[in-house]
Amino acid sequence: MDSVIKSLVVYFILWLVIRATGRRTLGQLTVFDFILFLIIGGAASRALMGQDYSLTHAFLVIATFVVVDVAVSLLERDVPRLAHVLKGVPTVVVENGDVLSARLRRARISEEDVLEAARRAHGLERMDEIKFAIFEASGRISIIPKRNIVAGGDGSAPHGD
Amino acid sequence: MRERHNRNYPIPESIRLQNAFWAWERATWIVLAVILLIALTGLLAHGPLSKSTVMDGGLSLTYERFQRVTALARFNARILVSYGDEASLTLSPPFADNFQIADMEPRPLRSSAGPQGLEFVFQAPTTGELSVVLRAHPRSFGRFDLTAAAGPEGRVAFSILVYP
Repeated sequence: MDSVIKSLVVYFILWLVIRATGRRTLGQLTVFDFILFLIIGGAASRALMGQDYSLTHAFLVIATFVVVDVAVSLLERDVPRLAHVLKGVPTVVVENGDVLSARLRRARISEEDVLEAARRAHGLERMDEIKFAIFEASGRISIIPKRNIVAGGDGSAPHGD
Repeated sequence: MRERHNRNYPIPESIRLQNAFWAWERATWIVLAVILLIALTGLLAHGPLSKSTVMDGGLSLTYERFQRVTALARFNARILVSYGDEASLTLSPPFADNFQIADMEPRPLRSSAGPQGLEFVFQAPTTGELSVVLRAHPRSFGRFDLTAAAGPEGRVAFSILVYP
């Protein structure tokens, strides 16, 4: 019994703590974030296994996590509002080249993060080439370029019509 | 105003939910920071506020009043031996039920378990003061009310809160 209860408690605590680190951490892992998740994994693993290294205990821990994961995904599918609460909602942070500074600051991302995403996805050079930058629920930044900005077919820098 | 306005294009926004979530995020950081500060004081085990000493007559017991399950905890009993060449230390039955002894210094001459609890008998030192260091792991979490007695020298009652 304690295997299942402890696993449920650890799952909930992990979800709470990792969610509180913010989507930015999930979507753009830095070295510090990577170390953080390594330590979290190790600490959670030791707490879960304790002094019980039996196959039965390991199976119960794994099965509990799988069942909770599936249950949460089913709930998210059937209750969209719950999905918004659990996963978060996408948020526009740049609109027609204008930075929505307060949203950017609260999301703990910088203009440089947006420009990096723009360069990576579309080869864009400046903020005014971005129609929308969206901070997704996954933590990634999606870029929608302005329609008159077209990347060259040979991979050259984008140019206007 | 643009910051607070809900957009439907290119994505349906819910800025109210987003702001609520950001506020929850910040509240969680503050709670975590407060928990860390509390931990530094020893209220979550191992720290200045956790260490406690109880005394009665010739018995003095120093222990950690906040402990964590399976984590090693230290008990230090000082017994002033007034006569005889042996000294005993008896721990009440809940100690045997809920703690697993890992180590004891000095090693007792003999030990026994009975209705009165765990009894350890030591060689009395020539100096007259016996210091016994016992290390044990709590097996379960909860609050435990325990007693320790050193024969006629003294008897103390103490409580330990073990966190999960």
